[in-house]
Amino acid sequence: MTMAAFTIGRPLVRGLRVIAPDDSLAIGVWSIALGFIMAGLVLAGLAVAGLLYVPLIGVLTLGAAFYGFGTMLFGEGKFAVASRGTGVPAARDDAGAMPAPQLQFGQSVGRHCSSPPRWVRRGVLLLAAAACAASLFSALAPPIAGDALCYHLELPKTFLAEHRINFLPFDDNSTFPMLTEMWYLWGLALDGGVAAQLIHWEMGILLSLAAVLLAAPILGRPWAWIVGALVVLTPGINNQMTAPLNDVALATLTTLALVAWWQPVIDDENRRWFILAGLAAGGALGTKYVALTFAAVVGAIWFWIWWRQKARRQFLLQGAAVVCVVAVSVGGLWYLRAAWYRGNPVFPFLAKTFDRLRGDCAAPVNGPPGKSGIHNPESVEPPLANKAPLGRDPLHLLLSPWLITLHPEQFGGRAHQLGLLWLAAVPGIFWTRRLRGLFTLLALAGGYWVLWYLMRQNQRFLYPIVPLLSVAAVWVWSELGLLPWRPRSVAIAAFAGMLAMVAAAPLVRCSAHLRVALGLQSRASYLAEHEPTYRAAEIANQLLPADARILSQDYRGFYFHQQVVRENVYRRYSRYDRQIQQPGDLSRSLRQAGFTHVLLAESLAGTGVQYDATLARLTDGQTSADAESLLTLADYRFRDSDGSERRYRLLMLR
Amino acid sequence: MIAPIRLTEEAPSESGLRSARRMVAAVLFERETSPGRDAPRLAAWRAWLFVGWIVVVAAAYCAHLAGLF
Repeated sequence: MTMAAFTIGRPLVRGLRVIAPDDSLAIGVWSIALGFIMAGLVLAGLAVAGLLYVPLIGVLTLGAAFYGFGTMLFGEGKFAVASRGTGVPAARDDAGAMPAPQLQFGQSVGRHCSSPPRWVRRGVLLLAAAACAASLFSALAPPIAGDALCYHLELPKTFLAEHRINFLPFDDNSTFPMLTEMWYLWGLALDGGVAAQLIHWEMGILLSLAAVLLAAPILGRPWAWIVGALVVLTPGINNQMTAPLNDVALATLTTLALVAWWQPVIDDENRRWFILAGLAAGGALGTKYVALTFAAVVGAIWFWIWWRQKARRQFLLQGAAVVCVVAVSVGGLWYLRAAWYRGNPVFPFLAKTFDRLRGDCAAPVNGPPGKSGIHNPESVEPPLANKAPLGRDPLHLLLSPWLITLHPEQFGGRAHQLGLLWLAAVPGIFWTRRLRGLFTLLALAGGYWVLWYLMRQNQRFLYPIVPLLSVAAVWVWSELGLLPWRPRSVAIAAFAGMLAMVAAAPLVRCSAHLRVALGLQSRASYLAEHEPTYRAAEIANQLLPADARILSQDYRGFYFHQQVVRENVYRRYSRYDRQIQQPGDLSRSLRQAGFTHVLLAESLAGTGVQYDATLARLTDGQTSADAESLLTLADYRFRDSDGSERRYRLLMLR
Repeated sequence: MIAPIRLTEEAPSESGLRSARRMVAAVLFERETSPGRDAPRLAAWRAWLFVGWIVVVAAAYCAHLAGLF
């Protein structure tokens, strides 16, 4: 898949002629990233056309990959670099900091900072390599991440089974931007969940390399490698590389968009970079709604530069237009789809606003008719849990870096934490010298942080600014030489200890996945140990026909071959529970709605996930009224790694 | 080949906002140095202040991991 992506992206990179032919890092990163974006669009097109067939996807992939191998083996024509500026000189930046030297893209050596000592660079890169290798082992284990089994993999699996991208009215996630899910569909078509998972691991590597490209014009490439290493040493990012989610993919694409934006806007390079920026930004918009937040902050900074630099206004305005048109062309499909089916391009967010704009609040606007009794307009907006644990006041905004570092469990969980490096290192910019470009990066990071604080305080959504913070942290490190030797020694020792700690975490974590990754344990046995729904899925796959329809309290449906509908979403739309007049009506009512089975999940002990008890209560009522109307196919208990215990029951409706 | 040298724009006139920004920058940030010159050492108290911050962050993080608070 990577080779196929490279083959698809390479002509684009070559055609734009903005990257030097000897800059293999930039060529490789951009070719693969653009190839994945284009491949995602092709797959989305096939999905819309109802042509999602494994043989077709396989033939296209193999054709592209072999063409790429052939090109590499037998050579390709060189292309000339045409790097033309606008002819309008860039102004000195606002803080009066020194301009960076005239540089070939990515080949710069920072003026302020000499190269890092070789042992520092090798040591940090070694730690990053070890952390990436450890996360690779974890990524080779079958996927068990909750969100992945709920929709990142579940939706592509469903689309692939139906050979097209259908609207799923009882799945809120089915109208999200799904570029990453198209990549996972690619992986599922060619192999399975592990291949899909490896794509996200690869996105982590691309993110690291994109961070190198971002930092190179500012710090010089020797230090930029350390920036890239720090990005993959961020605990949350390294951990998410082991699961098929989409936050790391989003960070990769926003970073690449920023890399391309930087060249013409800050360094006054060739305007064709705007096309690359638009492609990457479109990919980001097609990955996750959070990209809109990032785009808003970049837009604000762009406007500031436009306002300050009168001589370049036309150039900047044209660039903004190009980026917008290209980005909307690449990423707009998903927003159109959401608007078509839900009446809201960013469903389920801003639901009330769009309801007011529409003048009504119907549920799926262009979805299937209410065969299952879709009604109750006011219930369309999903019940969002508390998304702002800190509230919205300015004091907590100032304290938020400290609080999310020390209490990550309140902001999406320890698994997604940013770690302590940023909080320790970034404040050091207050004693370092000023560096051209750093202020812009920090303004972007700061603006994004404020919007993050005001909207949804989950650490995962901060990943797009990790490369920016990493540049600041490495600049502080490069300035440690200005400290007297005693405090410098303490600082170096402290940072070394932190690096060792964050690198050790993935090594410890992967020990649980080593056996299955190396083939010493079967995937089925691993899943039986780690995935609570797997046993029910195995039984369902053996006993149930493919057209069975399961109403499930648990949201993990990936390992079922049948359609799994989340009970809480179905209840929110249909209010089926209010239509049950007698305890014995449940089975008949659900069968009339097209369901054949129910999967009950119940938390027995521990502090893990808690399930709404509505379906379990109604089922118990049904059993007491008519024991013959439900047939138990599976009834088992599962103990999670955190000690919590759950009970699962798979019942057939009769 | 001689590398091209970029011309800078003529410095805009000093505005109140610009003066205020320069004052804030002068308090918070070190003065820039010319490329070829060795940067001056940081004052010891500022260096220890930064190191103290690093140690506090590391200690608080480790204490929280250990469940001490």
